[in-house]
Amino acid sequence: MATFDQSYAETGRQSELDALRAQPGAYEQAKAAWESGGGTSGGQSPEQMAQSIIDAMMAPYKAAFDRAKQFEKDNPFFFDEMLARSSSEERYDPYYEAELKDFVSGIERRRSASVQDERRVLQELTSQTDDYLGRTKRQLDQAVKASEEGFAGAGLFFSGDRLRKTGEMGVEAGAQQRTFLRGQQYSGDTAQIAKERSLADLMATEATGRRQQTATRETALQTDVEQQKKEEKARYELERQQFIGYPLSGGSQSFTDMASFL
Amino acid sequence: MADSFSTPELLSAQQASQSATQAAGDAAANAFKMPDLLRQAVSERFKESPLTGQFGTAAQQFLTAIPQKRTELANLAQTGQAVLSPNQQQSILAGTRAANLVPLISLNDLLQSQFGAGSDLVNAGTGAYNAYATGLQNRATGARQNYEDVLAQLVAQQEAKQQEAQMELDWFKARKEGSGSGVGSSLADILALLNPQGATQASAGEGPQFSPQTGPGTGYEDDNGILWQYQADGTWKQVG
Repeated sequence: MATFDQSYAETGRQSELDALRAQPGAYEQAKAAWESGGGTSGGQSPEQMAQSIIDAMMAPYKAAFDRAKQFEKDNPFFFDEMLARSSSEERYDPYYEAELKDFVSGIERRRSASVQDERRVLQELTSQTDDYLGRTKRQLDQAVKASEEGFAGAGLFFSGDRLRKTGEMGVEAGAQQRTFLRGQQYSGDTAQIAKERSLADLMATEATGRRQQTATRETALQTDVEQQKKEEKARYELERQQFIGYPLSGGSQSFTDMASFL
Repeated sequence: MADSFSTPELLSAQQASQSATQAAGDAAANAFKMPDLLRQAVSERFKESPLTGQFGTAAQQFLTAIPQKRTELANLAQTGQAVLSPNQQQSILAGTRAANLVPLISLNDLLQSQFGAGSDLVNAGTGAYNAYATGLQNRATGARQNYEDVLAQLVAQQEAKQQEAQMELDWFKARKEGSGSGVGSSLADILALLNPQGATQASAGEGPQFSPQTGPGTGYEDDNGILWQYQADGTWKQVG
């Protein structure tokens, strides 16, 4: 049967035995406990036994905890949002610039068309007015001349009737001209109003389009930045899982969870 | 007779058996509360884990990131940089939520491993303690067996000595009765035979005056029919 001292030596716990000897009374107490049948653990209370058992089994977990602390200390998570945004802009802006260019080109085309349409209408109206004024002047001249000839033939050239008739003809022609010109003015004004309304609409359409495109672009950029951040965090967490390793990590579940974000 | 069994070897075996039985009994009694003690020990050790704190930080980040992003989006509209539709805002917020969910899931996996291990550790610890208790029980059984062996050996030795002494006594009795002349049959003759140099005749009331070769426990009946037993201290004690 092994002695108390031998039981320590045989289990490689000579240092524990030396420590017991260094404490007054500890050696005797432990020896008495051993001799009472409890072995070299016999001096422990159940609570101490539980602590000893868990201490022995917790070693790999304690090491994993240390690695978990070390990982965060050595690798604090850092994500450069500005750089990520630049990257997103570099990839996304060519598309949005092309889209905006197409959109603005369409607006400009319609704006130009509106101005041209108005100008054409005004030109037409001017031409019509010129024609009308020339024609009515000639018609008036002819009518006055015919009237004068009629009065002259009747020997009434110098009569007051001829003067009144001529005057009436001039008044009538003037009234017709004003009516015509008023119509022309109305048409001109209408064309101008239509153009201005069209331009205003186009301006509003352009503003709305630009605003919507800015919102779409901003959404795309911010979503992409968040996606980049998510992927960076997934990579970071994968590294964390790998660094901590057994017994807390290394299982396929953790890796699959993280990889699903990439 | 009791003194014959008071040998150091038997006493030591008896004490070892009693102590081992006591230790095994204590271990068995403590076995039922060991899972709770182990659970408590595991719980204390897990307090050293940084994962809980790291998870707390990640959770805090997750909870603050969404309101913070909402504020940023509101500022975009207020400063005229961009007016986002509700769907667009939700799309960005979903991205923010997903990004900040990653550390939570990762640390949650680690914590699940940790707490799952807690149960394993308690089970393994309970198994270890039960093995320890079983060891003590085996040791107690062994000590008891050792005590019984020592006792049986002593009993056997004692019986052998008694038989030998009885045979010696019978031989002398037979010799005494067979001679008839009285020569060599007297106690003095017997003593002289047993101890030729130092034997003296026993007087009435005194024990035999010789030391038997069979040692302590040897019995002797004198001429007066009194029974004596030889003691370990070299004296004779009247037993009947």
